[in-house]
Amino acid sequence: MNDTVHLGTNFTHWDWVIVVVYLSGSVAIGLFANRYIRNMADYIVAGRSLRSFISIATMLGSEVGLVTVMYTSQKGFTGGFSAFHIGLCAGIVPLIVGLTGFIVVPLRQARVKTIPEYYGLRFGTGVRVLGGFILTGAGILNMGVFLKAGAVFVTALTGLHDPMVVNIVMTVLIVLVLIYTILGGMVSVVITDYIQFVVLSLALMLTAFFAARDMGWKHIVDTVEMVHGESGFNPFAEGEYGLSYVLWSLFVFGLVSSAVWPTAVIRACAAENVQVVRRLYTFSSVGFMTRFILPQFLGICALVYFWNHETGRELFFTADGAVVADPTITLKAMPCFLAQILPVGAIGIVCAGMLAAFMSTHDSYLLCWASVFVEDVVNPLWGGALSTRARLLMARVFILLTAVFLLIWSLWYPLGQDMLDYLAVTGAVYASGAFALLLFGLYWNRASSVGAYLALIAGAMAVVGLKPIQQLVGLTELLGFQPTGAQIGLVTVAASLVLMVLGSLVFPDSTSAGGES
Amino acid sequence: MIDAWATFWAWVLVGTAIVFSCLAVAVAIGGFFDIRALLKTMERQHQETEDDQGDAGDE
Repeated sequence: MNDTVHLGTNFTHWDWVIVVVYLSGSVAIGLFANRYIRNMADYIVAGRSLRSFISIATMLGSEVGLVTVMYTSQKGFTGGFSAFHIGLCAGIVPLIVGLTGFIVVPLRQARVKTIPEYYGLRFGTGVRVLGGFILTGAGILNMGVFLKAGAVFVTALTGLHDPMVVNIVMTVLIVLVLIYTILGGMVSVVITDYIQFVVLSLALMLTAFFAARDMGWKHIVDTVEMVHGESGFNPFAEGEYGLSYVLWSLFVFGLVSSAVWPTAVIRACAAENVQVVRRLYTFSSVGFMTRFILPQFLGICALVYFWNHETGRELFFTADGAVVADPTITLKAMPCFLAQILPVGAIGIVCAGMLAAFMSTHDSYLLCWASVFVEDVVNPLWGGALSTRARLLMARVFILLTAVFLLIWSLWYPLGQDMLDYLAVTGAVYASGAFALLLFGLYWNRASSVGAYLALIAGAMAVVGLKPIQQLVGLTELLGFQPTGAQIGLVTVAASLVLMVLGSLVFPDSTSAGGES
Repeated sequence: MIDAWATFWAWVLVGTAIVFSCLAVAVAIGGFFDIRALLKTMERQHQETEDDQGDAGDE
């Protein structure tokens, strides 16, 4: 981490003032929302009263986070313009979901608060509990690197290099999120997400403008060609991506992140009506695309900047001119670049926007996993007899415990792969099975609970896509080649779909647990 | 081939920036009014619930 100190930063005390004032105001508004919380529906889905614009703001406020900006810019740095294909996939698929209502409209019509609740309606309580358990575990694992990304960002942008100070800053941010999420639930999440969306949009556009102005388009294209060759432009060429990765992008960053990932789907569940759901996805598709394209562009600009920077070139490139393979170093490229090019004041706004985005992702995710754990795991196991007060208390305690776990996990887990790939793999642990259950549960009458169990278990096998797990089980030696996370993810998706069909045909339910929507 | 890809990605980048700017302005303005409506709706829902409970108590 100390290597980046030599690069310097434009961050000053004035920028800290901007950050502190902004974050304090944001938390105060979040706390104000506590007075609107009376029951579990208020807490989880804000009384199902969200209209179109605020639904879009809160969806994008949550999904466009600091972590997103970090890992997508890393992809731009390591993959060049080819990384833009992820943004295209992430924009086109939600647009199709919005226009057709695929998955999200029937889910909203089912009036469920969470996806496992739908499993319960369609396949029975056992599937709901297992699905809720896998979702909570995968979701918390997915969040496990968020703090690490946040710490890297703060260190590189502000020039703070004492690890203790960085840890204190990140812990304070988590505590602030905890305070307003625990007290205000979805209402505070919605209001703070709105503010954070506005500030982050400004910050993103501002940085993209400064970056483009300083680099120049022709200079950018020439440098990407020099470093990455054709694979820096063509995602199907041999190199960083290839066909399997593009297919994986369509599934994970397109379909899963919009229509299966619970923090996005919970917005559909909280929408006022089906028309709002369709509008939400149609318009959010622009945001889903932007959250990849603009940060990736910043990553590309960082590549160009440091290629022509003496110290930066030593840090981010090997002697033969290739990008260094260490993902913890390439992750620092974008914030180090911003620290160099943004002027005083602008860098404070960008930092506040990014930290706000960091908080808005955490609040939504913490609320979502806690809701699922209490509503879909604990309460059903308790026979559905827990009172509203007990469930609210349990959700708040779970949020607190999750935050403690995240602090510990982020300190010791060795990343071993690009952050985006870590997130895709941990997401797939839940999403592979969930996609099969939603697809066949919503659109195929004969889908059975045995098929659902098999699909969930097969989907959870995606955990093998994590590098430390691969090393633990000796997967490369077993297979004779090193599989990528994308290849493992595609196999688990296919396995979940096949097992869902086979299990349903061989072991049909004696009576239909739910209807086709 | 690289030139064609570079031109394509340039259009994608510029198009994204323009459309996102418009969306951000629309959402910033519309979202403000939606939050006001949300808080009013929730207050009304709570009021109706309390009224219903009051009616049930009277019976």
